[in-house]
Amino acid sequence: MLMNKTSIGFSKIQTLAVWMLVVFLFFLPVLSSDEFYLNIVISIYLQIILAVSLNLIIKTGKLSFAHAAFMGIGGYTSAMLVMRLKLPFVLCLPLSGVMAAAIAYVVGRVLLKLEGVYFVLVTFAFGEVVRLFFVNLVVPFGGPTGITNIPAPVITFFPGYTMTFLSKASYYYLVFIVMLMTLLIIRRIYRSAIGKIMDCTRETEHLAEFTAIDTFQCKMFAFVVGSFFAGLAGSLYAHYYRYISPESFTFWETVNLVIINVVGGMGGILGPILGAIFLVPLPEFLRGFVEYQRVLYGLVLILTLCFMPAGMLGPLGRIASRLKSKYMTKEGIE
Amino acid sequence: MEATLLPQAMINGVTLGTNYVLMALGFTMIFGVLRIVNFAHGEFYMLGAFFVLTAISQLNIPYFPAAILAIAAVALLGFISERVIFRRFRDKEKEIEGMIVALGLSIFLQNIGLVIWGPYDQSIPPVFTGVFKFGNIFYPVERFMAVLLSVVLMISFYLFLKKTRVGLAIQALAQDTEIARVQGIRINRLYPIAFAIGTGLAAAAGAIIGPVFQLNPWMGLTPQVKAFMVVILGGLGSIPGAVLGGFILGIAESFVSTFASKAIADMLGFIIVIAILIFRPSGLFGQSQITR
Repeated sequence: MLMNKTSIGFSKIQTLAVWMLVVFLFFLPVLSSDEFYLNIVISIYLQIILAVSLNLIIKTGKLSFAHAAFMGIGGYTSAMLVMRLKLPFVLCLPLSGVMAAAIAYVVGRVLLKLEGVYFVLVTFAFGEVVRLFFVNLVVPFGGPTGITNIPAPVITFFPGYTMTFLSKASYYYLVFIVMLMTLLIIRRIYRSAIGKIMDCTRETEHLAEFTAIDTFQCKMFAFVVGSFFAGLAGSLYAHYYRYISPESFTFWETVNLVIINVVGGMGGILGPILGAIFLVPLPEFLRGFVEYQRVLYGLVLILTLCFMPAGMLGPLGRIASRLKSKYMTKEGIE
Repeated sequence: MEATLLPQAMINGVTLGTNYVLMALGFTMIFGVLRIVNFAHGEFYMLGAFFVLTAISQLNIPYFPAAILAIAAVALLGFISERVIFRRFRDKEKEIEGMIVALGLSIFLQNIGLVIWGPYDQSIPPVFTGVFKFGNIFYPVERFMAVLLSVVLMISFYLFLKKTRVGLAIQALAQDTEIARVQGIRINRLYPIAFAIGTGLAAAAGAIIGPVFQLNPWMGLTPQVKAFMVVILGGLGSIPGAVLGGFILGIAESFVSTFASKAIADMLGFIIVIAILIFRPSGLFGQSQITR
């Protein structure tokens, strides 16, 4: 009884801390309007959306090497819809996610039947096909040069009041809100029964099937939902940098997301968040040493997998649980 | 015009094919024996070519000893990387982790290459000069020699697998690790040897093709992707499959890019790969039991 109560107390502190962090991040552009830092934070948020949605797919035991391709599908969809069909951005953003999800649904029905490394290789090939598709179709997609002059998002909140997300600070809020929504939805999935089914599918697929779990359906769900968020991120990316080309969505972008997941820890939602916070700013501060930075990336990836398979979450989680038990026993004595 | 295009496309295809086969052989053997998808295979190829260049320019030795030195150095590097890194990822359950760690090694080696040799194209001084001419068909001697050397290497690799004790042991390991161990095969000795031979073959491909093409730290990416394709075509882990797959891909690419376009050739390769993985995951020539 007492244990129960104290553990509730601990999670209350956690929730409070998270809310304080959210409030702090909400006021960040007010505290500092430095474009350099805002730009870094926006790219961290974008990478968090991508890395966490990839984590959703990884959670079912499938590593998709086509995640950046789905981001690209979202980016191109959004740019096309806004520029050619003149649709409002509020419609294009979700539609770009829907487009990525729809393609993931069709492709997933076939590709998700493959296991282990075969799935990884086939998604790699699919990603390349998507990239070559954009490279070779000059007419709608601009070919290798891509699409330039993508307009900044314009949102009409109510008739007569429209807002253009041109400044870094305004775009910050757009990405921030989409990221928060992504995190809340994926966290909700992880905590629900579906999350448990995903763990079960990953760890013991045959056993899961014996307990009447449709593991294929579970993988489909993760693949489609994960790709949906990748599409959203693609749209946000396109309208933020206002320029996209096939080179923005290569295999190496997916590799970066994998690195973020591995280094942060693939075991949950917190890992990719930590990974993104830790890894995304690195290039900005290591400018002029790009090749050394990549050497470091490779080395960090190898070392993490060899010695810290749970990523940064491993040691951090141990510290947290030690603190937790310390706090709980204190409470118990008092 | 058509009459000369056809044999020319064929010759170019065979040249491409031998290079693909050499890359794919080591790649497929490493997967067959160690169950590791070696994403760093292209980087061992790159190192092979650059070591030859460095040996020629720094040590002032001729091409052939330089090539042997380079292959030996890369094989040693492969041996060490198996001992230090890949031995942790040998289980079937760790296939994906093994793949990611190979990706890490790939990024690491590629950028070490960038730090050492810089981003600009370099070339190994040509070893063979001149052009064979049969009617209207041209064939540079250096390309012919590259094919010849590759074929010699392939045959020696085949003989090594069939005739030597180590070769037979490697085959046994690829077929059934447990039974092979019961028969007294020491995996901790053989795994690094197999990895070293696989990376050595990649280095050999780099050393042979080096004088024909330009060298840069990213030169391994394309052969790496081709090795994937070839190996999926022939079945992951299948050595005869790699040989057949390599020639098929090389010749097909040469024909499509001669008669259609390079872009279509590139895209077609990936689409074929996807189709094969969906309908025949064990490859065109693989036995069904390796299907997983």
